[in-house]
Amino acid sequence: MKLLSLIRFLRKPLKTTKTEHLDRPQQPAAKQSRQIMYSDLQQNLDKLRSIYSNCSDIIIRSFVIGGHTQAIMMYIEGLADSESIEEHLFVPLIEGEAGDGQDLAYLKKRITLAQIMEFNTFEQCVEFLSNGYPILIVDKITQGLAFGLSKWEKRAIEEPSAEAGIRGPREGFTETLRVNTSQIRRIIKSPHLKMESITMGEYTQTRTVIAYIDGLADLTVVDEIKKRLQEVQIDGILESGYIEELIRDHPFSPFPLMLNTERPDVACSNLLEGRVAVLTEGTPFVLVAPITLFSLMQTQEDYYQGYWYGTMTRLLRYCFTLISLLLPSFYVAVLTFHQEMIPGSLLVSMASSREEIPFPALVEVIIMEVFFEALREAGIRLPKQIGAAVSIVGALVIGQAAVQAGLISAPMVIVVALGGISSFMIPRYVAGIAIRMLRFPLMMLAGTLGLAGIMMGLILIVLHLCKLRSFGVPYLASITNPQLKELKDVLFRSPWWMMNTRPRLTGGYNKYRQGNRQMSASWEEEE
Amino acid sequence: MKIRLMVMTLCLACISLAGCWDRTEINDLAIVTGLAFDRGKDDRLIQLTVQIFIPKSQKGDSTDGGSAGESPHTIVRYEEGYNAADALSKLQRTTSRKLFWGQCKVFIFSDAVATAGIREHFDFLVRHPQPRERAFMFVSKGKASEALRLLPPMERTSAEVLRELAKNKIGIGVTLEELSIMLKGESRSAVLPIIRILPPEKPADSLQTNPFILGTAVFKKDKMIGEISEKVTRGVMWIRNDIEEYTVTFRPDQHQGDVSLNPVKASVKLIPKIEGNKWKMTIKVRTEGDMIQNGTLSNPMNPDFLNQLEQAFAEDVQGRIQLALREVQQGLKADIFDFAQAFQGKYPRQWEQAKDRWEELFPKVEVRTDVKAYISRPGLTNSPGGVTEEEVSDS
Repeated sequence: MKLLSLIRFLRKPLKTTKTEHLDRPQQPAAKQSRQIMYSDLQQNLDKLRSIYSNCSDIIIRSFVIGGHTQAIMMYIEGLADSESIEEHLFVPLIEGEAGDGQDLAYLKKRITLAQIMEFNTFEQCVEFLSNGYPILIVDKITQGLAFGLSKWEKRAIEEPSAEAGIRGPREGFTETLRVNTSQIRRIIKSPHLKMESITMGEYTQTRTVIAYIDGLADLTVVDEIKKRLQEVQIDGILESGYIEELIRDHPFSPFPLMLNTERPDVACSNLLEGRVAVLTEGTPFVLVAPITLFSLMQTQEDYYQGYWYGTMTRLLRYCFTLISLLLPSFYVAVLTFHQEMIPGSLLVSMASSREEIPFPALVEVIIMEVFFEALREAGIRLPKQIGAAVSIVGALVIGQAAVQAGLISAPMVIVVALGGISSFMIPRYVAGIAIRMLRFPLMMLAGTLGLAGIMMGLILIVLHLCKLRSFGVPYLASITNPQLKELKDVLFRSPWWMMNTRPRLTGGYNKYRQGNRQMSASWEEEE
Repeated sequence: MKIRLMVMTLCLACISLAGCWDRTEINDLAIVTGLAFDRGKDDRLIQLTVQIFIPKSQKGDSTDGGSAGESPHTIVRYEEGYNAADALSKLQRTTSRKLFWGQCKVFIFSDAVATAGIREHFDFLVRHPQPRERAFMFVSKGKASEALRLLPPMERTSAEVLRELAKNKIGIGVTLEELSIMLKGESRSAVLPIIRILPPEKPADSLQTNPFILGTAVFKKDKMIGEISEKVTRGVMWIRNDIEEYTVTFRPDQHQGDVSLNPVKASVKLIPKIEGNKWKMTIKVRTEGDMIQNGTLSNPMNPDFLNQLEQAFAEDVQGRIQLALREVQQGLKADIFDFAQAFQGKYPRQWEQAKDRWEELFPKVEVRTDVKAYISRPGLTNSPGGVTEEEVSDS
């Protein structure tokens, strides 16, 4: 029911955009030409010329096949491999090795290329062209041929910068969809790995791929994701963030309900747990759904570095998440309402350091937090060379000068800095943003109602978390049903030989991930 | 949606429109570190003295070192009133900041106030929400406010000195909560440590010194009925099982020189017995200590000598306990050892009948002491230090 109502919510804005489109006099080019091709070459040429009017990057080359049949070759400069076109198409066609061009089937036989596709509408023709395939249209034939010779400049596979690690594969996803799918396919070789393609975006015609493992993933979730993707009607998809926002549940929640990752190994580990990945052309960030809150607290390295390390860092992460969320507000609450709680000698030194501060603690903390957010944002946007300067100035201005000028008290600097740095302990940047945002209302509550206010805020946050569903999976799934089996990969990271079952809600279809009695077998060996 | 918006605005309004938040910045607080009760100008009045911490005084410490030591860390304000609450409200009138009791850990009664009875003031301390139950209570010799006026050279405030001293359990340390339990208990008597002021090093600045604990005030019901010396206090602490870290020095028979033990650990049991009309009490003490100084010329590893030592140790402890019993049980007749509790626990029926006569019964209780003392470790060396093997005597 929940999902349905959400879809309905999604539909509303989409409908309005649709009608707007109809009102417009000019229709988008891609929509215009859903018609069969002519048999006359000149007519076809005119049609394509009008579709691609004022497109300087289109190359149209008329020539004669085998000495008497007129034909044209079209491709987009920079998207197709012009050297191969010359070698594999023009040479055999013009020199007659490929026959006289009357028979398309014979042509196909003679051309030494792996991928040759036929099409018979202008729409398909445009699609092939924009994907970089050179197309061949022959006079008197109502079909065209597209050749798999697309080739464009792309970034090499590099180490993912947003998800660095010490141990583990160094490859990251790139902007090219096919490279990304190949990276996944290289890890999961089983044909059970399915990759369904959907094209989105009126103008961008962005290809997205839904990847899942047949037999592990819940097919209703796959269908639901497919359905939501198909419902999206938008002019363009530039990044997977668009998709995430458009198809997520609970559109107003600050918490991420889909994971994004730059790492093929992370995507694959999620696929193996029965989750679904959505790859998008043009971005290295792959979406994963459905997730729980605890997916955001896991990093690939927890699983590579040994379970003691994994458990320790994970607990540390939970601690610092709480510190990041609560420390500034707790400090404000204690300082303005509950002075009795502070140990005597600490209160005395706090009183001394706050003696000349003109602001109330709440104002002070908000100033500092806003400063911190600004510095963080400025640090991201600036070129690397200036970034260092900003951090030095920021540290000096905020850390030292503000304290010496008597504007900000020294303990406050420590509190804000600790809270800010703790938020970066959360491995997923999006989750860190959510936590950092929620700090502000908590601070206001702490400044007005003290610890009672913080408690109220926390209760509200927990209630909200309980309500969240990511594609039908409760956000707090693992701890609302507290069994040791469910907690094995949540609070601590169990050794691999104990993680015999997949998470219940995403991998329930195929429960066991290891051989029968592997765990007991390993014990027997030791004895 | 509309309802949701309305609820949200209402909630926001509740928070922001209330106006009178009970928010207080630390800058608006006068942190009270100690409170003293003195007799006022006439009998009906009491004088209340508070010691307030000055936050500004800390400021310069790190940056301009030298001059910081000069400025005092505390100021003292006093006011008279009919009772504590009245005096405090007057005190607030002259103080620019709100008096904050949350960190007040020292309450001092002058001996005059203590003799007159502390019930009324005590009620204020336990009833008012701010004073802490874990604050320490004292009785001062002479005016109580004098102790708060001092500017101790070592600690930040003189109240802190007192708190540290009481915490270390060198003498008897009594918190507000413990005093409350003592006063409510079956024996209806209590003890509080007595503070005096250490003579200052340089007589010129008479404030540059600190208070210290010496002796104990004995209370019957809420009135102070007398005081016992430091030596007797030791005995009392043995019986009350308050001994924690403590040095015992004694001279074994037939030997020249003293032996000191430290730290002394003790377990004390009060075993009551009623035989017909006779109420009896056995104080069973089992104690052990490590030798830290051996003034004799004998080797403590010698079992004979060790036996003598242990016997002497036991006798010393017994002597202290008996001195305390003599002074307190016979002299002051106040049951600060809480024998009453022991009898009540074991003989509840007899206790119910005798409860009202306890005051006359208590001095007649026959007390037997049974001390077992052990010396567990001789310290880092065996034979007496600083002498050759030949000089060590055999026994």
